[in-house]
Amino acid sequence: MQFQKEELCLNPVFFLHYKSKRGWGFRFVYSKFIRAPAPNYTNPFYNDLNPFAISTGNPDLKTEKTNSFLTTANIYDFNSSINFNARPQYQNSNDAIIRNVFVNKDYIRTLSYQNNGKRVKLIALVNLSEKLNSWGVRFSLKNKLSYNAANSVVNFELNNVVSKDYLVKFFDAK
Amino acid sequence: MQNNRKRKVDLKGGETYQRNNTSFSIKNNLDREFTSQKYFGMIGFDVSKIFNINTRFDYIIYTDNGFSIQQKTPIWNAAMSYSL
Repeated sequence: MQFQKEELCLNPVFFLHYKSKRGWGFRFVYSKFIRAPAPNYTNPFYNDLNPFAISTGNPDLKTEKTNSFLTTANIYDFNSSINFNARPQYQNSNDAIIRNVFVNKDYIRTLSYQNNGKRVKLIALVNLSEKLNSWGVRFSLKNKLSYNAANSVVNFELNNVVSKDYLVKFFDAK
Repeated sequence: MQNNRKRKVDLKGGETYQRNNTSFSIKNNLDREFTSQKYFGMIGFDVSKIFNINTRFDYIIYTDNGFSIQQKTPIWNAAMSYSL
């Protein structure tokens, strides 16, 4: 059986860049993009190599269409050697590809996928670093906030799942 | 945070805090909340141009609403390097 699907989409991108002065830059990007289902999401055969975690794809899956709004601000102040970056991003997707999970009484999980509702994603990054010459040190502070809301089917019940993450780093050691 | 002058001594210290909160509208028993905290400190010392000693200590604390205890993981690492 051969699986073939064609879809024509128009994905515009709007880009605005503004530099107020040396070291100060602001950017706004609107883009529309599609996310095609991964090959294993559309494969209709049952994968039961692990008998406790069975998965099967859905050949009727449609692409997920996303509108993305991204703003970035990069500021470097040469006098105080302060570096500041901010990057808020909002994404709104239609026909979200969601998980359909069924767990039976023996804890055997069967996973599949379907299109259902919207997916809303908000990611905000704020970074600050500064060199303090009087103290002889350099410090950096990183913040990341993300909000993710989408539907998920758990044992035939449609849930709205909201995931919120917060990360703060006071100096990142590699 | 780290020192600016690293001719002899390299000092670094920092902290990372991460929090996740996931909620299900109907299957509330699947709601989850976990945190991780990581603290670290590092000292490196150049004894000579070819000989360096350094040590690093990490302390990580994990919490999860599905478990009653906190998982605490201390990791200590020390090394010497000599260039031939």
